[in-house]
Order: sequence, then structure tokens, then C-alpha cells
Amino acid sequence: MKDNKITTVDADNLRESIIKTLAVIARINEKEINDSILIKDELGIDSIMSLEIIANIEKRYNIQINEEDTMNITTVGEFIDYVIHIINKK
Amino acid sequence: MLKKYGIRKGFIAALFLNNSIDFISIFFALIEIGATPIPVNMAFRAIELDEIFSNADPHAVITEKDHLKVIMKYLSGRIVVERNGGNFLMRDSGAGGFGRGPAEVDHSIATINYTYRGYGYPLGAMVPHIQYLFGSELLQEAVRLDAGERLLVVLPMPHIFTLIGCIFLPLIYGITPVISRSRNPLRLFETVHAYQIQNILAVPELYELLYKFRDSAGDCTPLNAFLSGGSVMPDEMYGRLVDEFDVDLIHGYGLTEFTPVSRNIRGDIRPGTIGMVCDGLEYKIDPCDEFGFGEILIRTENMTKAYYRRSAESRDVFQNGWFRTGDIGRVEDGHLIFKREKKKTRKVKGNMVDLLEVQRILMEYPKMRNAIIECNDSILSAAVEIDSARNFDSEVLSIKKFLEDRIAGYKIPKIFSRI
Repeated sequence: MKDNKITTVDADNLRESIIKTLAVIARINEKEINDSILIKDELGIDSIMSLEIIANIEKRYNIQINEEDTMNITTVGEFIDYVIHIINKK
Repeated sequence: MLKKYGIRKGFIAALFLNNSIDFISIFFALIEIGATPIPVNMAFRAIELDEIFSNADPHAVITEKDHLKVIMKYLSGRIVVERNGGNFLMRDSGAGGFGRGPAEVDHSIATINYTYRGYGYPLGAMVPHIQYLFGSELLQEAVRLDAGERLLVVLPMPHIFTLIGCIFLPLIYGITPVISRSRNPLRLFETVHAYQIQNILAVPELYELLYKFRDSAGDCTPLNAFLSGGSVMPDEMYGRLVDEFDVDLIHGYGLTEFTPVSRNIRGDIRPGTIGMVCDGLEYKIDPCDEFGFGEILIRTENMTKAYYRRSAESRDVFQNGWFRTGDIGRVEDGHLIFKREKKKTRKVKGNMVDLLEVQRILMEYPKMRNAIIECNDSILSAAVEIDSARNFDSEVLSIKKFLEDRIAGYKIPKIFSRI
């Protein structure tokens, strides 16, 4: 098992950080964002915004996200879980 | 291969293909056969596709396999060729268009490209072969790319700007297009480095994204020029991009019916304008207000002159050889300044949105009594009057879900309010 698996504390920090990123790009108060919020329909994230979010997260966590993998992700929670999965796979 | 599948001279073929070498091969193979390609925007959904399939009634459809679910209901009776991982195969779709005669498309027409004029539905611009050649020549006069240079292709190929700038111009002038599968700014920088890219063709919104990630750009020395079009380039962004990337930023203006109408020329770039009106184009501003602003009209033998099977709309737009662009601007020292659209269309991040079309589909939502669509700062909003006692946030979610399969995603309003 690799050492870079993220802990519960890390996961909480990561969750908070991703929500902050989404809030800034969607121009919405981060308190209004929770795991069940729909990224496209409720946050109004369009294709250019999603590129910005992905690039931000890739930079911060030194990972690569396959854009096609994210096509079927609908909620904030699913997106966070996906990022955790990618970090754990590193 | 296409002939083997039954595609013949005079046939119309709708293309639903991602950016790829195959897109280019199929596009030119169809033209070589004497068939007419329709390069279709892959974001289109039911409302746009209903119109395109009913208006053009294509004999054939050439599509990515994973796009079949979007277009399945239109395939019956047509020749259907699917692309899967770079391989092509014919799909059994019933009669397969074999019994049908050729379409009534003049041999001077290269393609039918669907665009908007604010009528509430797309119109198939019949783009002649000469428009692609002349447009490429006019663009090259401005950008002056040298044979052997590399050009990064980021925008979807069905757009007229991409077709001319990234396919015809490179083939004619010996430029190498490098097709990026990703628009992620970090991947684009990696591609610039890996392939020593000198030029990028994109919309202002993508350049803005590159600017936001400028600290990840690395050594961008090879970059020479950003070719920009599709929507307005704010002056402030122009200055930032030039300073940061040390490139010639060549911004221009064009429409499906003719591209480019105007473009800045290397060595004579005037920020705040959409460049000099191209040589060989006649233009006038008509009617013109006291400040010199009015509708931009252009005329050349080499432009689109009608929309497919839309004679009334064609008569409105093409008058006495002039093409009414539906855009308001003025000319200052030969440079065109764009003010706004007169027609009921707006640009949202480089994509054209017909406000009436969005309203039309919203009015199909159950219990919708009225809908007013507006676009400010490239953000679409809808004010709706609806007979429903439901919580408005839930209603908005349900409206967005309703729109999802019916209209291109970029046309779904971001902001909803009650009338």
C-alpha cells in the first residue's frame, strides 16, 4: 500500500479546498455548496469553467484528470470522491 | 470507403465527428465525391437536430459511435457510418438512403453550415468552395504564417473559423495543424512545448483561461501568434495577453456566411477594433446613425448567397448582392469597430445563441406562460412566468433538466428569475 493514500483529515481538507475552488469560479458563497449540489444545474458551471476547475485541482494536487472521466459526474460529492480516487491512485 | 457505403455525388452527409485527422479526411473525401458535408456542432440536441434533419434531410450520417445515442431517432432510412476508435463501419439503418436521388445543391457549394440569424431556428448557409479558398487567402494575408510553422487546433472543427483557419489555410500554405484532444490550459501548454507550437487559433475566452494559468506556461518562446475570433476580445485582456506571452494577437471578425470580414494585420494591429475590412470585400454601414454606427453590410462574389431551403429568410438577409450581417459597427480609418448584435443572437463564450430559440423551447415547458431571455456580459438569463406553486429553486432545476436533452448546453440560461 502506498504512503500517499489520503487520511480522513486530508480528505476533509481536500473537500473544503475543492468547495472553495468551486465557489470562487461559480461566484457563489461556499456555504451554499454541499455534496449533493448539482455542478452544472445548480452551480451553473459551464465547459470553460470546468476546465478552470480541473486545471486548478490538477495544479494543487499534482495529478492529471481525464476530462472524459468527469463527463458523467453530476454532483459536488461525486467530484470530490473522484479527485480522492485519483490522488489515491497516484 | 464512403463510395462503398453508397455515398454518391449529390448526396448530403451530416458529420458528427470529434476533432481528428479522420474529420479532415472524411470532409475532403465527401467533397471529392461531389457530396455535400454538413459539419454539425456536436453540442446540438433535439431542438437544433429536429430542424437540421428536417431541413437538410441528409442521405448519410457519419458519426462517432458514442454520439449515436443523441442522434438515434434521426437515423432511420439513412446511410449511417460510425467511427469507433479510428475505425469506420456501416450500421444497418433500414433503407439506407439508396433509393433517394441527389439533393438540389449547386455544384459550386462545398458545405452546408448551420448558423443563426435570430429567427428561432438554425439556417443552413450554403458555403461555396470559393469562400473557403478566398477566406483562407484573406486570413493568411493578415496572419502571415510561414510554411512549416505549427498551429494548435483547439476549437471544434465544424465552426467556420476552425474550418478556414485550421484546415484550409494550413493545407494551402503548408502549415502543420496540431490537434489537441484537450482544452485544459495545462495540457495546452504541454502540447505547445512538446510540438514546438508557434501559433494558436482560439476564442478570447480560451486565451483568458491560458492567461489565468500563465504561471504554468513554462518557456513559451516558440509561440509567435494568437489568432482570435468568435467573440469580442476586451482591450484589457488584449494587453495582458500580449505582455505575458509576447505574441502577435491577431483578432478578427467573421460569420458563417463569410469569414473573415475584417482582421487585424500583423504590423498594423489596432486594439479595440476587429481590424481592417478585407481587401476584395465591399462594405457599407446602413443605415448609419450620427456617430457612424449602423448595420454592417458586405458584398463579394465569393460569399454564401442563400440558406438551404429557406428562401424567405435568404431574401431578408441577402439583398441586391449585399449580405446584411445583423451586426452593428462603424469604420474608423478602415478599421472596423464592433458595437453589438442587431439580430436576436448573442455570443456566449464564442458560441452563437439565438434568443428566440431558447425562448421557444422554454415555452414548451409544462405550465410556462411567458419567458424572456436576455444576455448580459455573455451570461444568459431567463425571466419566467409559470403556473406552479412549487418552490422556485426546485422548479428551476426541473426546467434545466427539461432543457438538457433538448438544446445545446451553452444555451441553457444560467440565471432564472420570476416575472
